[in-house]
Amino acid sequence: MILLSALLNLGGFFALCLAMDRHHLTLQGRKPTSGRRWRLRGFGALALTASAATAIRGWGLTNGIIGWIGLLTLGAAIVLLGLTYRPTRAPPRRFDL
Amino acid sequence: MSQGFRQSQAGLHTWSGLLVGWILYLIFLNGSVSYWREEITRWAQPEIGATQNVQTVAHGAIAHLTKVAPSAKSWQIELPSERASGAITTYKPKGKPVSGGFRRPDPTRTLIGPDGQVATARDTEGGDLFYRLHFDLRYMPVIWGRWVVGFCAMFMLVAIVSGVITHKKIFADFFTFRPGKGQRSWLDGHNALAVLALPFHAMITYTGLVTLMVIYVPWGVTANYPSLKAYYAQSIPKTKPLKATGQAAPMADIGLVLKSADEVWGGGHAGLIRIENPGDKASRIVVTRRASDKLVDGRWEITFDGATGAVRSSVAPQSSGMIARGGMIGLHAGRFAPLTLRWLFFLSGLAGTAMVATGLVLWIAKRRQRLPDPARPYFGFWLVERLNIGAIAGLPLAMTAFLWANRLLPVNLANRADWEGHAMFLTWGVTLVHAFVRPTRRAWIEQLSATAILLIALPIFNLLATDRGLPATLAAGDGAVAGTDLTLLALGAAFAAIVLAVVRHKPGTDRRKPARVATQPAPRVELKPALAEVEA
Repeated sequence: MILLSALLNLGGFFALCLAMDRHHLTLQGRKPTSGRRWRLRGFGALALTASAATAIRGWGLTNGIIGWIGLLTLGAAIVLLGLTYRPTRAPPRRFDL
Repeated sequence: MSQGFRQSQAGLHTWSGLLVGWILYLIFLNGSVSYWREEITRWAQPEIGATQNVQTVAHGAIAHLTKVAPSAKSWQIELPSERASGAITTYKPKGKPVSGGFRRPDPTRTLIGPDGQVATARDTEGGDLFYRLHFDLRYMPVIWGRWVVGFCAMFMLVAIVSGVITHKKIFADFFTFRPGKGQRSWLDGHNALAVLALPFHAMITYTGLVTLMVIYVPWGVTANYPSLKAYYAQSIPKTKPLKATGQAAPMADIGLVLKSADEVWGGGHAGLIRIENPGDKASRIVVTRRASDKLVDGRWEITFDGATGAVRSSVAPQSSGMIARGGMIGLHAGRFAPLTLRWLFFLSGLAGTAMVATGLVLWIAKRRQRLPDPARPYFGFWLVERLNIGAIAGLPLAMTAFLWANRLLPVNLANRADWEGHAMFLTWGVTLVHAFVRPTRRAWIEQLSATAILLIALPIFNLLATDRGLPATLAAGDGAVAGTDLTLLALGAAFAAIVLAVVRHKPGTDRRKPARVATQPAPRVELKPALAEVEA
């Protein structure tokens, strides 16, 4: 459950990151369309909410809330590091949503 | 108006951060490490293996106390939590109480090993050293240390709030880190470390102040009570001492007492046992709950009749004020945290440590380019730059020296535990002097690489010179000791990576880099159509 929560967290932040013009441009070579931006934001918010729910399921209410906040930090940090130190040789992949 | 306000906050942030930065770094680093307080103590006492059965230890402790202090006024047994091992017994003889402090354990203190037998282990403070240093400092009266720490924590709170106001693009730069661009990179790193772990930073600073709030802001108490003593007497009520009858009676089995305590708490665990008038007909067994059972830090206690083992009374935190404060203290100390959660606390703490460190380096990076003559900086610049080396690189080296002293000092050395601490602070003194006399770049590289080598060498030493090397502890499933060794290796590798980055970094090349990076995205954009075809 906690691993699932962490993965949802990571996915959520990745979507939120892609929803930003600058990062979408770096990763996809162009700015996102307005619809795509909102879909990414929606998906990100949904994934982070689901991450909270799974964290509470796995850890219980008290520890779940605390753990979820900790995972938020970790998830966002991994996305940031991944974005900075991604292998630049590989051609960018397209994510369609 | 808004620009002026933001700028005033920027100045406040810079100077409130710089003034207390080095002490904050010490507080953050030692506090983070203290999340592994019990594990470090386990690591520091390789004589004591993991505890398999708490009942064995409790029975052994009672047997020992019955033998050495049958007619004591009271006994006390500190049972191990799931992360610690062995038990500590102390007793108070009849007559005037002999006071024993935390740092100088009283002479009745005995260690009971996991097998229930009296154990001898090297004299060490273990993880307690980092824990106490984190809010008491050292080599000064405890109360002074706490005032200094409280002062710095208050400045930290100011720096957090003013930092959030100063930061212009919290959301736009949320995922941004641009390495290799000098001052820009330090600012990015400082921002990322601060923003991504902001909930932790705000929580830990605020709750840290709350843990010692009665010292810092006593007036709420003094307005309602004649003295702090009276307040403590009411908030932590003491039970009247029981008069001994002089008639001997066998004591209730401690195993059964612990079992019924667990049942009363619905699956709780006993942490501390206090026995008054042991062996007398009128005796009392008071069992306090383990701190790791609950988030709220507070007193859960059950009193048993010593002879029959029947439950007499029980205490639990009642008032909402006590629960709110206990919840904050619990959240700060993380005693409740299971392993995964504990790792998140530890990593967030390291992020806070790195936030303070990058902030200190940023102060230098910002001013270096404006130096009229970099070879001869003005006094303030010189002082901050050197103190940065001695603190940021020197303190981890000193802490590593403590661990080495724990391994290398002779076991029968008088005041051995004190000397382990002295070894740490002597090392820190040497690193400070070193930071002031060596060329800055050399000083960074030398101190950081010494830390990397000494950290990585610790698990290797354990493997070669003790019987608790990594393969042995991993095979035995002793997570506390194996985990500490593995973490030391990881930290050593991290320091090695930092050394490599410093060595590779050529001063003065930073400003040329942006141009090269800016040309990079172009070929990748051209790749896109071709890639789309391949994927289709």
